[in-house]
Amino acid sequence: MNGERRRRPDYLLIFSIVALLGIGVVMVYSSSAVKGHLEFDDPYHYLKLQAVWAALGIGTMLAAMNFAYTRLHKWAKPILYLALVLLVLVKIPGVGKEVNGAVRWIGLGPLSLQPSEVIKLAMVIFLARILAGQPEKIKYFFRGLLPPLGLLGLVAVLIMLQPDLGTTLAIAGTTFMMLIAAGARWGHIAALASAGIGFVVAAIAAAPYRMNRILAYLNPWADPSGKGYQTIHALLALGSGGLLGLGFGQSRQKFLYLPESHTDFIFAIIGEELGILGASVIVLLFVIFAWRGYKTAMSAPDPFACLLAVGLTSMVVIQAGLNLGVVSGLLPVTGITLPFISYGGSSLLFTMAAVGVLLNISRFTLNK
Amino acid sequence: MSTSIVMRKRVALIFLVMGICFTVIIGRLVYVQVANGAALRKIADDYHFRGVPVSPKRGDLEDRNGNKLGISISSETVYAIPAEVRASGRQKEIAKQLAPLLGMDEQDVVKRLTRRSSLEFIKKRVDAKTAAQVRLLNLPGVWTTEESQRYYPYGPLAAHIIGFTGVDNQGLEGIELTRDEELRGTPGSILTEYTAGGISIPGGKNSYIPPKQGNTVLLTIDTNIQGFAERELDELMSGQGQNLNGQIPKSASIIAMNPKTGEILALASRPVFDPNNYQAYDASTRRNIAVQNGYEPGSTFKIITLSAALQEKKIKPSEGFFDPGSYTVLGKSVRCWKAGGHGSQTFLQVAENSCNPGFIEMGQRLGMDNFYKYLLGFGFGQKTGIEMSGEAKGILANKKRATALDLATMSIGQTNNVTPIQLITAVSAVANGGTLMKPQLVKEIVSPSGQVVTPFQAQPVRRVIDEETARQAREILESVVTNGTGRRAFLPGYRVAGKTGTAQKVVNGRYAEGDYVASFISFAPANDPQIVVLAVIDGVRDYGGVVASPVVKGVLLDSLKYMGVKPQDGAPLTPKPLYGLEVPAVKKPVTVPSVLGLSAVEAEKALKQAGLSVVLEGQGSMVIQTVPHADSVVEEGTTVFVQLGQEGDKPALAPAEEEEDPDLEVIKALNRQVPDVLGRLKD
Repeated sequence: MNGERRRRPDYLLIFSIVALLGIGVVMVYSSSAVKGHLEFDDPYHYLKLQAVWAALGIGTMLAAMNFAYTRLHKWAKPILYLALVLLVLVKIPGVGKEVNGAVRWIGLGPLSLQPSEVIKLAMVIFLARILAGQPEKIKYFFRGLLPPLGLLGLVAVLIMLQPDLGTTLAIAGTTFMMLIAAGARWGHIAALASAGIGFVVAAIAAAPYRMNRILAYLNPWADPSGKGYQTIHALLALGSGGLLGLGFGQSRQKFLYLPESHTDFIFAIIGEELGILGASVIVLLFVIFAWRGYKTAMSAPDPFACLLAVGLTSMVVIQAGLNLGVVSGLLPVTGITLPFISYGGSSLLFTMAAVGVLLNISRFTLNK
Repeated sequence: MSTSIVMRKRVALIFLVMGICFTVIIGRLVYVQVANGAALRKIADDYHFRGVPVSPKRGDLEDRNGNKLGISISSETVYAIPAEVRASGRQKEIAKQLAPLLGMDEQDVVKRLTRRSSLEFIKKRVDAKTAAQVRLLNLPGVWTTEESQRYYPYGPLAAHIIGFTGVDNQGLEGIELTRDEELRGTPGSILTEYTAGGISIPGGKNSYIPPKQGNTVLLTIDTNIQGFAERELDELMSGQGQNLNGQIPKSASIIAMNPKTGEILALASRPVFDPNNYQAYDASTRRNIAVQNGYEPGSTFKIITLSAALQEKKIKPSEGFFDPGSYTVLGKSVRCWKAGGHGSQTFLQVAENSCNPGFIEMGQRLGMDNFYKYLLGFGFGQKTGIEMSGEAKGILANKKRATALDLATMSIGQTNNVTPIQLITAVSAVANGGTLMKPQLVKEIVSPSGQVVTPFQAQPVRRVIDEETARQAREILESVVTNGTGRRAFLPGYRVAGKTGTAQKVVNGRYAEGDYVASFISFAPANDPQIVVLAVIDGVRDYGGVVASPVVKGVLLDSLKYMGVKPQDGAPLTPKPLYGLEVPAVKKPVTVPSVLGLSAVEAEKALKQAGLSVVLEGQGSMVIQTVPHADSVVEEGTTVFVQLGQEGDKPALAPAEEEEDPDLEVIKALNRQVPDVLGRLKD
């Protein structure tokens, strides 16, 4: 855009990403060995897959680092349309794959794709573009705030149809952060926050399983073998870990006590095996990621890059915060993975693409 | 165009908010992992670990000297973890291999293997060899564990005291039941980690919580004294009882007690069972008749009447009493057992002769209130508190309705119903100087490490009579044995005190003829009693002195020797009067020579040479019996009855002239109706 010479990317940001990814691969192995052994007679089953995805993810990140991110300004609309089409497609019977009672996947031969991952990226790029385009409009509710909110509403409805509350919350949170960064009025923000809470309440009221999750959240011990099961076993895993943990590979809760031990609840296994020490390292790495991500935004060469960086950073950080909150029992179970760490191919690829773009922007920061 | 100041400020603010959120998460982790970590880990372990219980070794039962009366030997138990069996998918095959080895039905084994429980016992009390074979098969989900099984090395010895245990080593009867808690110990367990699917975690942790072994319970029983009692009872029950002519009594029991402490040294009853195999015996054999059955004590009870009368100073031993041959109360004449009565006697002689009118006189002088005071004071009509389940209280005539005639019969041991343990406890009070002691069966309790957990403590209940009264009563009772009706229990060289008794039994609400309870109670040495022995023999045609005293004598003599009680200087070698009477000059002791098989002339010559006078009886060429027997130690000049006969003749029974029984005479004389108190109260 301004033709400045590329500099070195933010190494601290790269360090946090690679460290999280590395710990993730190792912990996916530890937490999935039992499941792999039972399901595929191969304790390394999930490790092998995750290692491949991690390698692909690094490649994706490197690619995303090394093109002119300014092109995203142009591609913003087509990407959004593609993402919206995919979101609709997933609801068409025969196209979408059902996993655990939710239809979130589109199968492409041996691979599968989560349209919600695509829309996360697409939303951030598109919002960065429209918010950076006319910086003054943001002050006005109808002209400035309503279009992005309308888009968010549409996307939210489509994702909630899957249903996927966790991703909806992450996208909504990211959108809010971008609106705040773009300079929206605090009065508007407060009103929107109230509306958001109303939306969450409505979403919970609409589906009985969410109500159960809330009840389980408020008092998991009331029904330890039913509604409170996941929360309790996550807490038992964390508690067992104590200060220093049971040692790598020594988790007991992974022996089928804790469901989703290699995906949504992998952080509980980390806490169990590595103690609060290991768990804190993970949290610290996300804090470093947030610091360097928002720092990149603040030093970005133009408003589009700034808002893009805010969106990408927020997306990862909010998702991480939601996951850690759920696993540690601060939030009700929403069903959201921990970025970089949880097992899962396609979501990892999209996360790596996102942080690749973030690193890409970090190469053009000012005052460096 | 660069980013605005506002934008940068907003981004910084966002980072701040995110930072706060992560700080909250860290705080939550500290709360969960550090503050509550230990508690959560414990709950988690409860999920992960499943325990196989390890039975503690049941504590031993020992006699007072540490002889093992009840021990635990190990046996094996085969159990299954159904989840592991299911996981292997080989239920049928496992059952097929296991069933014949354990001697079980295959279907039954399958059922146990597949039951929905975390642990299922397949068979208990499996011998070591079979258990080893089971282990060798290496069947998935099938395990063995060691358990203990009770064994009683002495078999039926003291069976009623020891009791027995059930399949799970729980005490069911006797001390095994009353001290179950002490003996049982605390079970431990082997904890193994399991997956949520119920399969043990390979390489998972195993922790062993060792069981806490049970304590050893030492009984007050002495195996030797108990053995003497059991021996006498065995002779009785096999038809070899002295003077029973082959008759086998219905039941019998012997109790030996240390009068000073209340410790039961022996307590044996017949019929009996083997606790190793109690199921093979009729349940009635488990009845501890020495504690659970009441009977009319007869003349043995006169000890109580005598002690009461002495304590209340209603009589003096040297005081004269004239027995005209009967005693009339409320128009009913109670005859003395001796036809024509004993005539003029002292109260000492009343006791020696067991003279009924003399004892009735004592009762009448005491009066109803005093009599009941001592009746209750000596513990009758109440449980002694001995550590045996089902102890009977006995039945006393209702004081409010008792008449002078009732008082008369009660004074001589009729009408009231007492248990053997009550009687020996009461007589022990007389023997020990006047204090009623609680009879005890447990000496002490010792922990597996050898520490005495509960030491023995004698438990005095109350003082009933004072020392001086007790001393007088003992000397009179000694005289009964030396010179009176108790002389069949005379032990040369020991000062023995005692009293016989015979009671008629109530059958279908009436006193039965020719079916008696014969008893004898005795203690020695009379001046410092170490042991009191009571024998009660039920269902005999003969009376107490004849039937029960040899039994007590057998136990008493062997026990005194075993206990190291030396024959006393100055103790009589032959029965003779002691107390305050004309004492004949002491004559030389002579041993009766054996003259069996000799001709009358030769026998007479030998006996006269030994310094004995001779009375020949019967016709025949040879001596077939002498009374006293050969080797008896008698006074110089004693008359020896020599019975003559042909070879093969049976010796006649000993002359019964002096064996008349005071109780029997009363029974016959009164021809009583059963008092309604007995009819109403059931024991």
